[in-house]
Amino acid sequence: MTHIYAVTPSMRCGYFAAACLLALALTPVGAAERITAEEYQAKAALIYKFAKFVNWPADRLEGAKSPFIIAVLGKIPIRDSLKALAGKRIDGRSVEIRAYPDMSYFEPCHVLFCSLGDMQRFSQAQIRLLADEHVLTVGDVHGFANAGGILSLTFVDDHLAFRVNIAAAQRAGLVIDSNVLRLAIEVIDDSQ
Amino acid sequence: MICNLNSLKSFLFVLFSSICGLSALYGQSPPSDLTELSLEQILGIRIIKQSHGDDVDDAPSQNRKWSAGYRRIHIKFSGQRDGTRNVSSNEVLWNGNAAERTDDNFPILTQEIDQEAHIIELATAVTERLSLNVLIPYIVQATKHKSIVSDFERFTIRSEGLGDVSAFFSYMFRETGTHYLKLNGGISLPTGAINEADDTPAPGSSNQLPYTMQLGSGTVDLSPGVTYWRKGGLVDIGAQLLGTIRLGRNYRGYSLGDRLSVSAWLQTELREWLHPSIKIAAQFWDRIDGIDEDFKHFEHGFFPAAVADPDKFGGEKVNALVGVKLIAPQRNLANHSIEIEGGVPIYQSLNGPQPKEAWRINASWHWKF
Repeated sequence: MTHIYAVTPSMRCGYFAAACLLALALTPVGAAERITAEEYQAKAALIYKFAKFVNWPADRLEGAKSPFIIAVLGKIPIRDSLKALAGKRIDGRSVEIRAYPDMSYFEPCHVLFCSLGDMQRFSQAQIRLLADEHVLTVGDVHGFANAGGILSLTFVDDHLAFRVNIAAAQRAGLVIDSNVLRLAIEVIDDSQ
Repeated sequence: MICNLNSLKSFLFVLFSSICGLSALYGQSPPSDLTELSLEQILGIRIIKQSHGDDVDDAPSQNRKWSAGYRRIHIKFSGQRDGTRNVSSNEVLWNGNAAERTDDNFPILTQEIDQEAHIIELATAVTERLSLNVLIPYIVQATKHKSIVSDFERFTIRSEGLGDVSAFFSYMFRETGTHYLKLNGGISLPTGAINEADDTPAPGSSNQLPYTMQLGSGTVDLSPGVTYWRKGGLVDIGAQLLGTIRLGRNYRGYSLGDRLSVSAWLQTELREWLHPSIKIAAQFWDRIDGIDEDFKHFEHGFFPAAVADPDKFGGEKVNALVGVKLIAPQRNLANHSIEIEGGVPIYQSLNGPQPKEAWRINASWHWKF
């Protein structure tokens, strides 16, 4: 018995055509012309490149053979992508990746990737500690730089972009190359 | 049955073709080591976004500890189905000739049912992995009938009120940055009335309405489930298994059938604010166990309508749905999202004759704060 759910060959062709149209409709404009990369892989590369344009005070760069430490606070998805930076060199130092479950495990490092929630929960003493240890704090949640973080990664359309809290960088004694600041979508000065 | 299987196969073929099409059109290899690129080049790469864990679904997170939402579900039933066969009104509506009365024809025929649920959703993140949700539904229902009873040739019954309030937990069992597995568990409390009454062809002006028109199950129900997401590619893939287990019978002497729902979906990000999706959802549910006390006298005779007969419930159904999720990009509206999804059944095998689903639409708004 035939009923409304029967599928004829012409309907099957229709389904196929619909599938093709759906695939075309979901194609972003110009996608074929562009290079693509996964988010955390690209963010890890951006952090690596950014760090090369930051000058740390001499006391943070003690010993030419000491490692350049990039740490992750808590369970953040970028952790695995950052591991790919291990062994690369920044300012002649070998990059070492560390993971701190929480701030009680904190040890001095050059870069600390943390969540907005962590940034907001830091006590005044912890904020002072990070500044005193000249730590470049990095996050990828909206509002991170406004909450006192130094480098906030974000998106403009399908591209990575970043905001810099220049006052927070100065409080940590970090000098960021002006050529890099020009690439920022926003330079925040919360010192006033 | 073969026709229906073909229909299901064809739908799966559409899904597969779509995935293949998307993969072919999107496929672009990233450089092997992005650190070899300049900062400007990295900023110029088109990024395949990966989930932050917070964004797996509308659940709140440690950054946004609360979420509130409103959901409206409208399901329309029209016509009758017995097994996988559509049956006409003439087949189901008894003509009054005693010799032709059977278990499958009735003096009252359900023509259309409109079921609407307005649901308030509240959720909070208890820990990084655990969130709790409370759902408060308000139900509005109407059923149009045709009958051979004089003065009731055509009539509509209505019911409206609080449904069964439920509480759920959702626990992120495993997450890798691209793969997420959540365990869900819920309990539904019998806050919805099961003694809704209206004017029907039965003697009196206020009669117990059939099971389909009651506002709740009348029982404490458990809802275990598991949800899987694969995010991070150009197309997110998800699947969910959800059960409803009725604990005992309600005070009117019956329990609605246990239910199992299985769904799978694909969702992509066309723009940062625009996330279209396609889904197939299968449901399997049992007959009613027991009988409402007001319908007990029909038990060894003939029921006046299919919706009063506990054996004319249960079945299997597969729905195909398309949807779109809109995420507000503006700063003032950040963390607000709207989702609209609609679909039709592509397969229904019902213990009938039973009202068959015609379509469903589901719209929701969520806010994380």
